[in-house]
Amino acid sequence: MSYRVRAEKAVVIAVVLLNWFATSAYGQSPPTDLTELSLEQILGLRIINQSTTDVEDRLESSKNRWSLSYRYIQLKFSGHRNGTDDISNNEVLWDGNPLNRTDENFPILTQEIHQQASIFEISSDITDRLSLNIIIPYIAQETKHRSIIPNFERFVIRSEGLGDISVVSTYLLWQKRQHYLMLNTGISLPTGAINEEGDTPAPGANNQLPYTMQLGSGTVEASPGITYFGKSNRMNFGAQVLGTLRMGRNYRGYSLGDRLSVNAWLHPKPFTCFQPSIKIAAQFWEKIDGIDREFRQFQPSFFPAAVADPDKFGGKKVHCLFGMKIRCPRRNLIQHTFEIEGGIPIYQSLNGPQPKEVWRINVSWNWNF
Amino acid sequence: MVRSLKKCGELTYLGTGISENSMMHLILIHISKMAVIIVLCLLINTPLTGYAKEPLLAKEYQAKVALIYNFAKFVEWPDDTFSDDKSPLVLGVLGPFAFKDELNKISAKKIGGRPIKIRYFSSMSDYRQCQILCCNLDDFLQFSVNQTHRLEKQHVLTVGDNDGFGKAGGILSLILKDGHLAFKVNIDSARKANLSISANALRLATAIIGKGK
Repeated sequence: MSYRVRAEKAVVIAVVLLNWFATSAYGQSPPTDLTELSLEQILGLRIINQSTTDVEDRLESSKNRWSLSYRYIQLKFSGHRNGTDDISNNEVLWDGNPLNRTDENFPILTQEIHQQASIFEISSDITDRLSLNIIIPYIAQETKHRSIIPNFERFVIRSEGLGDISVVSTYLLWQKRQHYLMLNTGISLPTGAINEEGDTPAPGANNQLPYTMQLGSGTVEASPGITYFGKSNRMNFGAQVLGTLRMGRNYRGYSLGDRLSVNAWLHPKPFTCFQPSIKIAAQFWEKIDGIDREFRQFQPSFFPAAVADPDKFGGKKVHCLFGMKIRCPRRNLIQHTFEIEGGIPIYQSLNGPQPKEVWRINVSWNWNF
Repeated sequence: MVRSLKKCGELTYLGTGISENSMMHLILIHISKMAVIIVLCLLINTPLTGYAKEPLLAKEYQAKVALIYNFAKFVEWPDDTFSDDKSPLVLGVLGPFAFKDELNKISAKKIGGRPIKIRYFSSMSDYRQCQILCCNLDDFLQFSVNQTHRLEKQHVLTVGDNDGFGKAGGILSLILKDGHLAFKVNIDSARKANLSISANALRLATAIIGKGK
């Protein structure tokens, strides 16, 4: 490309950008004293909503607004699935006969997994368009097992601690009337442990726990996404596409699979205090890439449990979730929002045999100040 | 050598083999092209984000206070409302009204030549006579159980920021509709309070509640 053509393009781009910024800035600038406007002009103003505490409305709120939230999430996994077919525990638990051993049965069976997370989040609206969130999870999980190994016929392993801390920004890309388009960018730091140990049937006192019992991913993750919100007098609605991209492998030699989630929700507003919600959430995630160094000994042979096999991760899930948002319209309480949401997977196609999710529930409190 | 060649208009640019006359011609063509592109860019870009198409942004409470202030200019109170020509127009705020802080900002202004005085009533028992009363729906409902007649007798313009305020008997309801401020007027309540509201204001209301007779 010649210098002249490059210069010509640079001028064109500069003119477009300058014009865009100039016109945008001019269009967004509020007048200093609205009382000087006529009634018609006041009615023509686009209003930044200050009287509600919807999550959506926070994006429109004034500068330097802070919010603190606490969310409790619990998930239960029970039984196994391969693809979309349920598999009984007896099929997954190997009977000890070497002739019957395959890569789909195991001497150790994961009966139930309970995962709980307490998530603390602080967010600040840096500008009218940009907000920044810091998310700190604390995870506690427990897995109940059965096995054919003597003295370990039934055993439980637990892990608990800080998860991966993430920093997420939300930028309002576009707004027209009651429709909003936002860009999400996030980065997750490997603050959660990936060397959690416990008493398992493997030789020795403390052994590396499987991937499902680790508290973090061990890798830096990028979470790009895009969110749409729409509002009307009768309901709020929206959709979000969010990705999780793992940056390389962790020091133990693996990385959890990349993840894509697509959500759509509807919040009818029949009452001021109560706002029911329905959400459809789809997730796609990949198998684990690599293998934990502790489990390399099982390759290329059979793994002792499905949750130790990196190929028995990944799949597709669709959840249907129902919820209720509660906020009191009194002035001293309007800054607080309570929300409860729970649901079940309506579709699960798993790279299995893999423990299948039974239900999930989350309860949250949000305080804007 | 360069100077002598330039004089005769035959300066040869290194490596291009283009004469000065040809170069000037190319520059003019280039400038014309750039001008056309820039004009096109401006024409294409401006309507997308232009001031004419993009409504101004304003915070809800500031806009509501501005609306109350401007609406009050279209209201005529009966002669017996004020003790004299210099009496202030009292704007009362009952209870935890959402934008009472913003109301303070109009206290330096005047309506109909009268200074504005802001008064806050923490509860119904604190209530004193005013010409405009801002309150939320709950407080208004409690207040109006046995005080409606008092408000009408005192010619009070009642203002609430709830859609149901007008149906509950309040005169001016401020609402948000499609990202814009709007208002409804209960003309029956205004008539009972003996307030005259200009047709210029009423024509801008999204709804007129009552028949006004």
